Amino acid sequence: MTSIRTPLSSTALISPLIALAAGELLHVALSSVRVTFSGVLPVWLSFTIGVLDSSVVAALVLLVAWLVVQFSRSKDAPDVEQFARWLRWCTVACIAVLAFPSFRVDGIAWVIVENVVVGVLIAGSAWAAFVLLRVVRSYRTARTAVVLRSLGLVMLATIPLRLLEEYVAPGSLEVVYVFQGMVVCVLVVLLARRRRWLNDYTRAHRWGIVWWCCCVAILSIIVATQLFDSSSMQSSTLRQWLIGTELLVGYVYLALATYTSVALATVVSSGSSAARKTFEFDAITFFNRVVSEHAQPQQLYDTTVSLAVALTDATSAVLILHESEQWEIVATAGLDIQRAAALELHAAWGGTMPDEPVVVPYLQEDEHFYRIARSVESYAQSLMFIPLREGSVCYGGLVVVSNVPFAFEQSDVSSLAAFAPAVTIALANQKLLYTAIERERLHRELMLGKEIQQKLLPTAIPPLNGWDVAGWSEPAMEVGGDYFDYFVLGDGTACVVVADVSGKGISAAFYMAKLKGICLALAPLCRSVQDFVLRIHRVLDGGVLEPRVYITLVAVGIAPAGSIHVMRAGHPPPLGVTTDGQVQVIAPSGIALGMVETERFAMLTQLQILEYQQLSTLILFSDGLLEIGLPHANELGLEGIQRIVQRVHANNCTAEQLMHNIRANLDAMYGATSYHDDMTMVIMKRPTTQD
Amino acid sequence: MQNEFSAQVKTAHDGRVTVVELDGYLDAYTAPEFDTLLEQLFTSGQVRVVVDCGSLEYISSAGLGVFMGHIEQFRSSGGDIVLCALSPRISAIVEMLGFPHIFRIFPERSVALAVFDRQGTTH
Repeated sequence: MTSIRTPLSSTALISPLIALAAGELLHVALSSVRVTFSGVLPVWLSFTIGVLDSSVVAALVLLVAWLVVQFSRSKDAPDVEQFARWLRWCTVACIAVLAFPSFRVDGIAWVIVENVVVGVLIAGSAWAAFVLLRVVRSYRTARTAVVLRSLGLVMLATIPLRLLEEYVAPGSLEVVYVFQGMVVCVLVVLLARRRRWLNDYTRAHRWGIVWWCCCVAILSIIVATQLFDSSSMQSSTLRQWLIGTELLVGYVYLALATYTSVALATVVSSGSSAARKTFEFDAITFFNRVVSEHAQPQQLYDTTVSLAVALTDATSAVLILHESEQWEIVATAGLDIQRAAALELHAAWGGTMPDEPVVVPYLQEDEHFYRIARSVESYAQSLMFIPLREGSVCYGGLVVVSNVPFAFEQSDVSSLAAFAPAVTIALANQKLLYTAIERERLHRELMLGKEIQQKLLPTAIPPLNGWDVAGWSEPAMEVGGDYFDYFVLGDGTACVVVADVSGKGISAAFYMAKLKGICLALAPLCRSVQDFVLRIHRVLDGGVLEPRVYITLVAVGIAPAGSIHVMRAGHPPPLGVTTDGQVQVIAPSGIALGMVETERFAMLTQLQILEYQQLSTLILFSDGLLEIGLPHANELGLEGIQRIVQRVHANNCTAEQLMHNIRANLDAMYGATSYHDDMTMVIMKRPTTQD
Repeated sequence: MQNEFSAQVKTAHDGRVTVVELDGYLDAYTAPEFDTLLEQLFTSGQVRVVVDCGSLEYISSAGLGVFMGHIEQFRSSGGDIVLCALSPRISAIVEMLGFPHIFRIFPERSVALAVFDRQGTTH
């Protein structure tokens, strides 16, 4: 037997037999006392014993009926093999005694034997009733349930007909026998359909069950034919009534129907187990083929639910994905998404997906689902859940639903559990694939952003009031916050700007784009470099920048008259190369844009005017250039840049050539591949003709 | 590339002043950690803060932006953020930006702590 949790132990199953045996022994004892001392006992005592005898037996029979009903409500398969072992030899012994009349003995011994036989039979009938109730219960809402109930009523109706036939018109109602036989056949077929739990037993156990069922059926027939004529039987009132009203005939039919159907289902389930295993294998193979053909996610999800339905004979299935504490129904089969959502699985399990398979045999009786059971009754009465987990990662869960109660047994759990790993691996692969695709898409978007940002920078700068200008900018990531540009101000001053937005990446890039827009809008309105920078600050101070964002900027203006105006707002100071080759740091005081209000900014940020005749070259750069070498080596620093410029500068080279020489030096020193920060450099070179 | 960074929170002056010791690299990757720390200090009412940069090896514009993002908040609550023990490199960076116009910066922690003794939070 496969491992199965069963509260229905053999002791529990045997309890009706124990109760009846005790009742029969008590009955025999009381009857013997009454018969033996019939002339001695006072009438009232004899009467009391008789009442007590009948009451005890009646109470015990009621107890048996109650036990049977309780067992039939069990959610798991009964431990039928153990039960069969208990009753097997009792039944065989009873058949032997009844089949060979020569075994008969007279007197009280035979009374005891007969009582034991009837006890075994009633225990067997309890078992038959248990199986019958369990099966009828599984048909509760289906059309078959109506058929079963109708058959039950018809069987009851035939009892008075048979009594009539027996006592009023013997031989006139033979059609009733034929009809009852037909009803038994129908019962056998209907009952045999719902024996999925038999798949939980091994082949040897199943054949044990068949063997016992046949014994009980034979015993039933023998008892029905022999005990009618038995006059020696010292019967209790209840049993006399049982035999007298032909209920025993009904019992024989019941036993025949039940045990024959169990035997039939057992034989069928042997074959169906093999077929089921083959189907499981085929389903997993088919699923793997779908996955290997690079199915789209939805195709994968749809295939999963379709196969889940086929594997478990469910009426519908739902696939739920679990991500970031969210449950999302991604596919359904046999019901629409609204109906799947109405099951309220998330609420039923308190938002936590179960770690282990869960079978809910009957929604109306489940503590988590009884509230919604009525509203979903038409399509969901039982369900089964299998988690889709790989290690500690939960990808989701697969839910199969049936419109009848008790539709799922252990074998269904096993089937779906065998299928689940393939689904989990497919989902994991799908997730990896789509993460890679998403990463690639983001990379493409960032590269597009880089391309757009590069277009915000001037590609070629024309001579500005006679000066030769070259610029270069390289973000550390795909996009950055460095910016350089040139503008012609309202007074004709050619102004070169290098700026750096604090931070890196996309947010810095957006501010850089904003800054360009502000500069373009303001430039024609400004009458000087100082005016330009102050106006830029005023705009930024008006809520453009977040509190933690600031912009450093250096602006160099070449007035039409030739003077050079420098404003530095917290930016690394530019370098100036004098006509005699000396490299100087040009560092007017200043504070970054966006740090203080405009009045204070105007006070702190000074304008420096340079002598035109003394300078041949101006080099503007961002702090990325200062920090080349970090974090693994010493940074270049301002002195390092000064040394490089000193080394490569030549009066007769162009701005572009000087830029190339400086970058070649940097590449030789630090390598060209990885920059720590965004880097920008602009070189302004006075034309040699004006030296 | 993720660089090492840590921020140790200590108290001084019987808990009236909070000292934050920064260590390592305060850059775009580690700035959010420091930002969260300052936010927590502000939320818990610890608005008199001395940031000791003695072990700070590097600070980027994103790191400096964290100071900018919180200074007004702390001052409007009667506190301040005071910097101390800056290395020459970091000192050069903050001076270039114009930080000394906004923040009080002291060479030693004891001097920075004394600021809160002397004049409370007046800036």
